[in-house]
Amino acid sequence: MKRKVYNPQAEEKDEPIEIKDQPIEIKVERVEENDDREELERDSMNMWNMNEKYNCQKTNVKMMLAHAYVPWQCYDEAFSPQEALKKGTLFPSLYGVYPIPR
Amino acid sequence: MWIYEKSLQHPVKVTRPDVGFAKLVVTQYGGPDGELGASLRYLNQRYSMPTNKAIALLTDIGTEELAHMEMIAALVYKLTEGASPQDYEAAGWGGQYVQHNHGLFWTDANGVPWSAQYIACLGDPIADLTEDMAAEQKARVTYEHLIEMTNDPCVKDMLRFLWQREVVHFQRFGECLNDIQEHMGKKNMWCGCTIKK
Repeated sequence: MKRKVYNPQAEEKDEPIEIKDQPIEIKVERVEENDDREELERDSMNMWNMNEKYNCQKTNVKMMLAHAYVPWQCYDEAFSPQEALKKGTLFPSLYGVYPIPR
Repeated sequence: MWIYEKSLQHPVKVTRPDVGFAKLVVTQYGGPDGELGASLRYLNQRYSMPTNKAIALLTDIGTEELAHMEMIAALVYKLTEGASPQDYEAAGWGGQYVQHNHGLFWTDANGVPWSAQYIACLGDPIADLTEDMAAEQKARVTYEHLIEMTNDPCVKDMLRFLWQREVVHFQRFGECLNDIQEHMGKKNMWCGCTIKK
């Protein structure tokens, strides 16, 4: 299986390296459609979400003063396509990071 | 070149026409933090970005903002469907009827027409991406204010979708800024174009 992966050395040369015979498993947990009550619970749970799991490997870069940074998002779970199209995002980790207006 | 999809990105439904709310929500059509300004800002800034990834991101998000402008247009149109001149007058939007009838125009909630002053392009990727992130935040808050101003659950639902997209775009622009700052810190001094030797 061929798959383009992030490689800092490759980035310097501005061309992605293709790694063969090294299948990378990405586990994607599907979050099934909830009923309204569960959805509200999830919303309040995620509100102002400062989740530790966003300490991606990539986030540990050197930071400079007077520059702005946003934590890298990890792809660890996903809504079903139907729910994603309804909510406006595929990613539960991006849903509810700001209080959801009702 | 664009590939055109005939459906809206998210369905636009209204429970009943509401000219008063149309007058307010039109700000996301042609207001300072509206979708027209957003799409033009990104589709214009893309040319002076130093990496292909940043160019691609701005093109993608700029394109999506055009789709959002289409949704807001559909919303305003539905909210004013069948409204009489008296309905416009009663909603305090008589001036809209006089100048545009049921046609749309790019103004903010106070009738101020859209202006290129709402957008910037400095040709410096850090300055431009920081502006884009600020723009997403301002659009997010505008949607929050608009959601407070309507009781229609269908309209709230559709605006909430657009609100969520602003949050997602902020994350993407932020990641792009991380990338660009790393790229420029390493070896590159960006002059806005590739200098030919």
